Amino acid sequence: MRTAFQAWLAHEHQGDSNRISAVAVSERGSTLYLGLSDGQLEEYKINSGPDGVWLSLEARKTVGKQPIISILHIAAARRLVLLCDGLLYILDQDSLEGQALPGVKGATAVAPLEGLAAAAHGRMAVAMRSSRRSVRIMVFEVLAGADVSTTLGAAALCEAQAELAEPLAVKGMAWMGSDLVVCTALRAMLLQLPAGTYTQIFALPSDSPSALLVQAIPDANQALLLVDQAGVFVNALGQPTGTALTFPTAPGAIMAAGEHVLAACSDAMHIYNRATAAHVQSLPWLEGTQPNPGQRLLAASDPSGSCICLAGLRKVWLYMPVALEEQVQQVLQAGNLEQALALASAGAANDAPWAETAFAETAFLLLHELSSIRRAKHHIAEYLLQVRGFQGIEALEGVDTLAVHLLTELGGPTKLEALLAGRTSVKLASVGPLLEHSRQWHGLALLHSARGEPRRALDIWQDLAERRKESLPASTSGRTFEETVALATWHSAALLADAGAASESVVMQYLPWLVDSAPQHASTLLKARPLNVAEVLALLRERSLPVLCEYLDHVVVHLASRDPALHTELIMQLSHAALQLMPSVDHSLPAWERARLRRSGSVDYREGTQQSAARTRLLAAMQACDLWDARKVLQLLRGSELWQERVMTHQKLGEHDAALRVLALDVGDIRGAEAYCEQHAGPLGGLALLRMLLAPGQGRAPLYAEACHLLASRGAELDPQEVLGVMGPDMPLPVAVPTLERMLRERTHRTRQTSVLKNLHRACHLSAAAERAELKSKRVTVTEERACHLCHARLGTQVFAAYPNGTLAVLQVNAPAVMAWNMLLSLP
Amino acid sequence: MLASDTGALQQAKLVLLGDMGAGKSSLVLRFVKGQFFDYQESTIGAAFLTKTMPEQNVKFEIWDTAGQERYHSLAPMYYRGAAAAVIVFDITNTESLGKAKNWVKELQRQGNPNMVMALAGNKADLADARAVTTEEAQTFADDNNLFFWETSAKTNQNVLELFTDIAQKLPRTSAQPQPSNAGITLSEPPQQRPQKSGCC
Repeated sequence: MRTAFQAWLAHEHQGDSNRISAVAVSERGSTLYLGLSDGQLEEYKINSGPDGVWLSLEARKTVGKQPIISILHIAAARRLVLLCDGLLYILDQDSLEGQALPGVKGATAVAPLEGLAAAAHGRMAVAMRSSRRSVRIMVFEVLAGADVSTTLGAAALCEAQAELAEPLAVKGMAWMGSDLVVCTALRAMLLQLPAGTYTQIFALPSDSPSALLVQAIPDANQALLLVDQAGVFVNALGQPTGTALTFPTAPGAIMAAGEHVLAACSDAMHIYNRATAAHVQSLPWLEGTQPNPGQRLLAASDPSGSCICLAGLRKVWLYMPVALEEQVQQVLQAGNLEQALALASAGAANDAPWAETAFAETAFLLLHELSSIRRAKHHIAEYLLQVRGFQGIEALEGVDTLAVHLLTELGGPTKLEALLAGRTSVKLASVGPLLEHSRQWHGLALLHSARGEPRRALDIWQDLAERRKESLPASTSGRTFEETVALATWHSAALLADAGAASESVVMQYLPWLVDSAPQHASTLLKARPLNVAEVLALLRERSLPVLCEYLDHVVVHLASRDPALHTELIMQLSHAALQLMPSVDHSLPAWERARLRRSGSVDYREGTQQSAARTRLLAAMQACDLWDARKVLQLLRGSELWQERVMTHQKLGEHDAALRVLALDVGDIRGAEAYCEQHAGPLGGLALLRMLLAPGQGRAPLYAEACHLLASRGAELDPQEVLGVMGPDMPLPVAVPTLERMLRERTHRTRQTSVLKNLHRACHLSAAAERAELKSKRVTVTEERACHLCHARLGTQVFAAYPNGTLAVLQVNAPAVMAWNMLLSLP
Repeated sequence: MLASDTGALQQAKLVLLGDMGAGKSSLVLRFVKGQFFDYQESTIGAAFLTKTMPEQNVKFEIWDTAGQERYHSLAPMYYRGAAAAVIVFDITNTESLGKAKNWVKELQRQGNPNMVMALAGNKADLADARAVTTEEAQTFADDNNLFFWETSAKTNQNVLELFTDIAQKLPRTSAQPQPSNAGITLSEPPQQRPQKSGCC
């Protein structure tokens, strides 16, 4: 609802002897003419001010004695045409002087040409009865400037006329271009002029409760025919043009003003949009002013529709349209943005200067409303996400599909993707195009994945990672391109790792891309599910050394492969990886010199994190694997700075001397060499190490200090003679004295200790021998009276035991007692 | 009016006629907007709607007329020049079938002779309250060269089928009545007798 028109009760006729019988409004809505039932014409000036609209009487003129039933204001000729007592009076607009038009009698209706043509032509149609069964329609051109006060000059010229076989009087007419709609109480006809042919539009039954009314719509070249509660628009062909207007009660009068139609019904003045037939506004009657049911009202308006007059028997209402600009403000305040846009568009069509402002204001409010709508959608989506988990929920497909639509519209992908990644009931065919259109590629891929279409999902993720699909902007998704790639590769790896979701052929198809894009995810994938090792290795050898090493490690260590080739390849690949990370060295210096410089800090040598990690992995693999070809590895490592690895390889080959040489001579790690001897090489290794230290070769001086350290720590295990033999004649005596002294002292002490022990053992042996001899010399004499000390039975021939104290006891009879006795005897 | 068979979308004026409460507006609303309301206000005058059936290459201009007797006299204005008419009756109301028969007679007498006419027995969902048998309606339709559908705007039963059937039966190449000739010519043009105004 909006306020399209404002209404005023502008005048109340005071005369008792007459009543209002006709109304007209001048061209610019400044003057109102009232025709009265006693033949008088009254001219009023229409005044308007802050308090409203009112009329002031300007002139009064008696035209006839019968009611004036119609008044026309012919602006083009500055004339007034009055229909009174069947005669047509043409008066001067200013002086109100004039005469009846000759030749016109029994006129029942008159209709002026309206619209644009009316500005140039003062044309009017007059209907009059010509016989009992026919009516005549005459068209006159009202002449401007003619002297209307006498009958000498022609005030109007008849241009055309037609006879209609119609027994009823014409009650109303309306121009549609050059044609005329002619209405009697029961029939509507279309008269084509100047040909004079006419056709029936429709006819009401004779018992029709209400008569026809007609209103011209000049700017649309249409006419509005009122039939009971319906208003039917017809065009110049007599065809209906759109949905009929529907009135609450049969109107007493209808008027057209611009885009609106006004219908005076018993409850209110109702206003409708002419184009849409929509109800726009109701203006109820004031208390005590409502017309009687079925009362015929009088209506008139100026050509522009800026002033509309409605009159009953005594009261006159004026209706004036509210400016579109004001209407826009009203509907904007009411929040009816659709109507505001429609009104602004109407203003823009007329080049109204306020239209742009109205558009901007509407747009602003629309944005505000959109924000509210967005919040509402957000809440609805949250609700749907919540209820879809309830048991027994119906129409889950609809719930899920709506949730997808809302979340897609809201833009944030997180919840949408969470929904699509799970078990949903949406139809891919219905939401797929939506997701594609809104560039929710990741969500679509998740949906494909969840629906068991791994290839389609992986294709999307691959396209995203390789920029073949444009992802959502970071402002919408909250993800940078790098994050999008990480997400795509992670989900791809997770999908490929699931043997139930992706077959091995799918894995092999997308593995190269994953190895190139996300080696870590590829490694995780390869460890997660069993695959054809040979195929995977063949693929990895061409693409990525780190992933190859990871996979070999997994196969050898975790899957416990017993294939020596794989063991060897693992160690070789790890060695390659470690060698690649080793820094360049100055080969002009011998290895031991380089090692010495590093130890002394003369050369800045710090192992990087990657290098350290690579070596740690290599060493761990060397320890964990046992089937690798050490000879082949040694060939690769020979001459490199990977000392520990070389030692381990030599150890695996049983080449302890070589390992010790690396440790003692190449690296100068004497303690490491000693520890190696202790763990692996034994005393022979110690002697070999001593030899190396005393004769390092390659022109190096003997490493006496290191040799002495060795002798000090492990000398006890070595044979002094061999040590002396090893030391040779060139060894400086002062250097060897402390060591030799200690060795000799220890040897002497060991000899003396052995001698003491020998003598002590000999003494013990002699003591035992003496006791044995004594015991062997003892005898027992058994007589008949001799009885067992325990059971007191005669010994006789029974077996008995003789105790050192001379007591005898039978063994067989009372063994436990003997044992107890024996214990007693053994007590000190 | 139909377009020629050149592939352009054909426009066809279609009018619905029938007794008050037979379900004309509900039928149209279901066909055009896919909606149904348990309470549908009585149509005053007539309502105008359009519906394009791309698969049939037809655009229907539909006039949904008022069923009330007081607006009966407006009907010729709506069925004049129509290419098709749907006469609707209520299968639970025998009187409505009688009204439908009257409409058929009126159309046969005053309507376009090439008009495609269909008889629609609406409210087929109210089978328990059926008062008009299918055979009775079918026999009437056969006798008058109408094609007959039992429809339900409420359950959307046979609604699309009805209009599709009409669209397929429309004469594609026949000349349609010209609106300008559609009215009932009441008289030959009289001799023009220009008469000068003024004294005789």
